[in-house]
Amino acid sequence: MAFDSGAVLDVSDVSFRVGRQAVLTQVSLRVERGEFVALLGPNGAGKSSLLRVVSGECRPESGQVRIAGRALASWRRRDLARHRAVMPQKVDVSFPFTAREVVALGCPADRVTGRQALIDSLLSRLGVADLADRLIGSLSGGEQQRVQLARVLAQVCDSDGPRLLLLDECTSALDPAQQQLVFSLLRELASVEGYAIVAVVHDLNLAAAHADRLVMMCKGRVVADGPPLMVLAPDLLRQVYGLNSRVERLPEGYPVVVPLVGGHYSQEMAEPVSSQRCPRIPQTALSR
Amino acid sequence: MATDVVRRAPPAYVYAGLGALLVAVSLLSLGSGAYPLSVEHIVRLLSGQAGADGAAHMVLFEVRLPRLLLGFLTGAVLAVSGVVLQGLFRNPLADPVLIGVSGGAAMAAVAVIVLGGSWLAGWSLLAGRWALPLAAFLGAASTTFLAWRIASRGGQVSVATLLLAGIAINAIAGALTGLMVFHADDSELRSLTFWNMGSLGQASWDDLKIAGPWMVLALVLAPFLARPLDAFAMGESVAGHLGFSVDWVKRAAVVLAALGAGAAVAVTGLIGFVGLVVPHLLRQMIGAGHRLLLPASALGGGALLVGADCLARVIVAPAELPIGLMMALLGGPFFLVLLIRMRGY
Repeated sequence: MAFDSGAVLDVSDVSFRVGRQAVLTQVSLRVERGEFVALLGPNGAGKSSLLRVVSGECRPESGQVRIAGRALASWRRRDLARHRAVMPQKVDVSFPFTAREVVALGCPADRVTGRQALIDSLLSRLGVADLADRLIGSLSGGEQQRVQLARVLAQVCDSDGPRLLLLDECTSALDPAQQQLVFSLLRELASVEGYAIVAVVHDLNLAAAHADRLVMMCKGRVVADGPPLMVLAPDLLRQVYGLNSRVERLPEGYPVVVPLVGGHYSQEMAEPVSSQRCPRIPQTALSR
Repeated sequence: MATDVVRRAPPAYVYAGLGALLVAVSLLSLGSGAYPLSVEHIVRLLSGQAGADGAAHMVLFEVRLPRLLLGFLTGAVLAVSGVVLQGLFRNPLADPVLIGVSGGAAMAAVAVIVLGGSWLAGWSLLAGRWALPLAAFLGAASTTFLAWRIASRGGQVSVATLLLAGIAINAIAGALTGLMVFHADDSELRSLTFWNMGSLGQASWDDLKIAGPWMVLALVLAPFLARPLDAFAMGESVAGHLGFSVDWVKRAAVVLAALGAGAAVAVTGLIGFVGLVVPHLLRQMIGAGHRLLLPASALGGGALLVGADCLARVIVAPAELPIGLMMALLGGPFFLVLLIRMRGY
């Protein structure tokens, strides 16, 4: 199969609504080969909806999604599955499958030789090799998440041509050390193996430390798109999240966001899963 | 279940065990009854070494063999339909009842029994000997189709709506059945009661000819759904991401289950629990992967029904218990014990 040498993912002017509610408004996003893009924004900003449109689960009202230069609709399902893998926020496995069997579900049907070896290597890369023969339902949330990530990687890891990962909060149940492990792995997959990765992330500092580019969304629009040092500006964070913060540049070269608590409201610290959208918090409500 | 590594029997052992069980109950089924036949005699008759005349030949080929085959196919197809619908609904309790198969079949069967001499005289005349099974099959197919139509919108089918529509349609079919039961006279009541309890007692080559091909078709096609059903265990959207056509899988699963279970119900009446107990048990033994589970369930369901039929024949000999009753008597308590033992899981 011949592939366009351009962007792995090209989203142009996509709008999408649910009922009358505009969920995405003229969103454009390009992700090149080897690029790791973190998608940021408050709850309800449209991050997951964007992933759903890009993964083909929802059809946009207008605009176009191209993967490796081809319009999404013109891909054959099976071919697309070899080049693009999706990790939803939560996956419930409804029958007693073992971790190994879950990863095997990700392996393409035509891959017969070396299947078990591939599964074992993916499980150990994610630090869950010793759980391979346990039932997925008996694992903790974080362990299940890593097994699912192995399943997602199994889907595309041995295909030639472009590889695109769409990850929706893929480390939300992991402890900080495991989050670092997973993000370092993603970083490596992008830089070394040329994966294009779009990951919805809530932890700004995790995103800043590992991603090439941050894309900030708010109310269904992309409000900033660029390298971490450019996107993570206190003004933007205040406008988008209502978060008072100081942003410092670390000697390692990436910024770190320090939420300010004293006397100021910090949504990030106080209520990381609030459903408010781009709120302006009245100071009087925060005097406690 | 404890959190340690799962212990499963090697699939080869499970298959060998199921195969041995099937052979054993088959010989038992062919040999036992008012005219007992020894294993040796059965083998000689089947291989054509014994003469083709005489009572033994008659009993074996005209009574017991069709009964065995119909019992096996019915058990196999009910278990496989159970697995397919459980995979589709992502619930180990799903059953052909849920998509309206049994309710529709029962309503149509009762209609033929009760109204066959009056309002439906034309149908009875037209379909003759096939009036009852054909009506039951059409009833099963049309209630399933109705539930499907209600659940689909803009080319997409909501599995949750399908479930609810199936339950509502079952209730309506049940009420209409009740109305006809109310209207029925004593002999009609007796025959519809027996239909509701399921029976292999009337099994003949003719039954096999009419229902067999559909059941075999369902059994042969089911393994093609193994991989998509595995993917469905993680939800429709994940199955879509993995490259499966979600709508196609749903359609295929419902058609297959309605076809197989509808054909089975049409000739044997209502037989419950096979589709519930067999897959549940086998999932514990060889895991939830459908590639192994589907054929194992066919073997297990077939063996279970043939075995239960043997019991139903000898337990109150010379009379026989309806097989559906037998299944509920055996299956109910067995399932409860299973649930109580598995409570930790």
